[in-house]
Amino acid sequence: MKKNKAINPNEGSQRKLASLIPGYAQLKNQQTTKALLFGSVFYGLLILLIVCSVFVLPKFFNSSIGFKPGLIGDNSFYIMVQAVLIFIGYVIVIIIGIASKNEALATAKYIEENNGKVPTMKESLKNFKENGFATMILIPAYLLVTLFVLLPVTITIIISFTNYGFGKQPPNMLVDWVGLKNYFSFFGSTQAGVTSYGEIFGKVLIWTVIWTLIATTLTIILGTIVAFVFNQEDLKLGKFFSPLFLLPWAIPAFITIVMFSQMFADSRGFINVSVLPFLDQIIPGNIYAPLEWIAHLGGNIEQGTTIVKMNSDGVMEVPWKTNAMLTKTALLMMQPLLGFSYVFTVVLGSLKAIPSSLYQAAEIDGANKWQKFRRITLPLLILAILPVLITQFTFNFNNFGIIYLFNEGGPGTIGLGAGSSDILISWVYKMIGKTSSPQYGISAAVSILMSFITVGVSMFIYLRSNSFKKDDLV
Amino acid sequence: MKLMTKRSEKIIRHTISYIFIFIMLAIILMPVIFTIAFSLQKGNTTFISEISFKDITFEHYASLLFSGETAYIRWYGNTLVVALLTIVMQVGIVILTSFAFSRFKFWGKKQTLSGLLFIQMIPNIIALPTFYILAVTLNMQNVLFLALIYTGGAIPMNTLLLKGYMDSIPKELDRCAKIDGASDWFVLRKIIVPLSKPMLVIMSLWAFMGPFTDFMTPKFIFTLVPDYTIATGLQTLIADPKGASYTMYAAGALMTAIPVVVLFYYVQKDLVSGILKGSVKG
Repeated sequence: MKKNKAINPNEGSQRKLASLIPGYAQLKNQQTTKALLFGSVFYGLLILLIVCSVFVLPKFFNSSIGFKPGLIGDNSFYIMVQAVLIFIGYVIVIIIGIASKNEALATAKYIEENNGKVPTMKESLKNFKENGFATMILIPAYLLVTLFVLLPVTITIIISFTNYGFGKQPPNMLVDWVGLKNYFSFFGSTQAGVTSYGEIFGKVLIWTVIWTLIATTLTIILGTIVAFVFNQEDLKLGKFFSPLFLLPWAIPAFITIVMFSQMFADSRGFINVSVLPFLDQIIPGNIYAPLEWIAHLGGNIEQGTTIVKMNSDGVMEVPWKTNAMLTKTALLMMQPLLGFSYVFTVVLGSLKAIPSSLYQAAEIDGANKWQKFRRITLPLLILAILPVLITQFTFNFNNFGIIYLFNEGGPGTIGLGAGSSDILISWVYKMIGKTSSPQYGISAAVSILMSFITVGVSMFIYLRSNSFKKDDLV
Repeated sequence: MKLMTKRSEKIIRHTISYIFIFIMLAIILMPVIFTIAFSLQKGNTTFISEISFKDITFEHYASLLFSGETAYIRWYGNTLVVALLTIVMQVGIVILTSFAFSRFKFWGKKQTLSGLLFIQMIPNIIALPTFYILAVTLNMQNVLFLALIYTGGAIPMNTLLLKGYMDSIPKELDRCAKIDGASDWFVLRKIIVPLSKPMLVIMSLWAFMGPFTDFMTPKFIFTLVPDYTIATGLQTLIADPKGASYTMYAAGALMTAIPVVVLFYYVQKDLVSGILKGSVKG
């Protein structure tokens, strides 16, 4: 019997040709329609991309992005978007090429198995309906993730290498490449009398890290305590009260934050007028002394000046909104109250899920309370808390809402637009939004560094929790 | 003797627990009570110590809803449109994606899944400056753009969650249906989707509540106040230090919070089990 001239998957040169020239293999498989389809899509897209590249890429890789500024000239931002789209286009072309090769090899196998019978177009369509279904239904997701996650992230990376910003804004001006200058500016030396980005970035970063660590830790501790309180089975009213402890999660946080912010008002806020005097009466000792001490922690206040003073209404005025350290303290007290509900839910859920047989077995072996906690409860608890740690860490690191709504990142400014309680994300907002001199380049670089930190820490905890799962509990 | 110590231990434990519960409740409920109190005050009360309950009024609710003095109705409308668009797009796309990942073998599946895991870790907000420039340059400062941002950002995480859920549906079910000649499409519509309903409900409500609570993204994207969603719009009522109206804000905030809180408690049980499943799976 005469063997059909299908492509031979075992022959190296033919494989190479199949992957390099889409359509060739299909032609060899005697499937002309398919060959035309793959060939035309592949080469059509490729030619289109090459034409676009010839027009766009020289502008993109110029020392400025574009050649001619002005309304009828080049718009640097469009060129960036076009360049990224072209890049994505090339990736798609490569994927089509690989798909074409895989298809040809599969068909060749089919021909081999069916003694040289070439599948008809109808059969191919049916086959595609079965095997291509998954690919087809993934397309919308790929499209959206590409356009609304990958594209913006890539453009942010590109912008971070440019001086996009005040005085360099398309369409009137071209944006210049500045290489790593934006990143270096965070680590550069400080000139006398000039506030550098490095100095401010350092200050804001330190507060962001302190804020994230303390807020996350306090939130998890508070949530865990609440969970243990409600885990006491003999606590009769527990079932009645526990839903109320989800309120901070259910109520949109921005409402609670604004109300808290109002309560912390300096002169006539609820905290200063009612709460602190009440606490002062029931707690022995001067409760204003530690607040006074905290207010001085920043180091900007001269020794000997009193911050917490009696005002004309006879109220001890704690300047929550005008002293940087007190604002930070208030923020750190509020966040656990806003965030603990989630931790509480997860921890209580996992405590309830621990099978009581584990404890019974431990009791039979003569374990005491502490041993049961140490050997059973704690490991399972840590396993439940690790994923929460990721979400809480990421959330607080980027917790724009509370910082902005409580005191707009203030009080005052520490230079270059940053307020004394600003974290990185709220500083980024101040650099780009509603300002007459936006700094897109710098803020993009800050954003990229932020995501490095977030992704790095998330990966670390994620891998840790995986190894933890494997080591201790199988 | 042993019994006595056990009993007194229980009493002490309970007393401490209840004291803790009541202190926490006081702190949790304080902002809620103040919001309600503010919303019923006459005129423009700014400080909590000025609140009085002598003459209660609903004028702020009326003025928000009927006077057109603020863009409240517009913000509410924007938020609803964004929320609905997000639900439809997100749930639709995530169902398809999770089905593909849960039930099919295809080239690049493993790489795509780990890619999603990685993408899901990149905080959406790093692209906010770019979204702003994109929206301004492409003249896209509208609700559709906002809904697409929410959807795109939510796909990776939700796909991983729903895929995990679909994996727990026995594969024999679809195999049986397929033997009877059912198509993939039929299997998805008549078997997988109905059985994934609990997870889909959580996802929809999450998608719905997002626009009501997120105040940052719209703030980055829109420049005109009437374009804002409710969370961002309400802040404009108190942003101006001279004309700040906390009474108006409180009334508007309550009308926003009530549907969200009701929905939250309605799905609370499913929500918790869904999160536990997701977090345990990682």
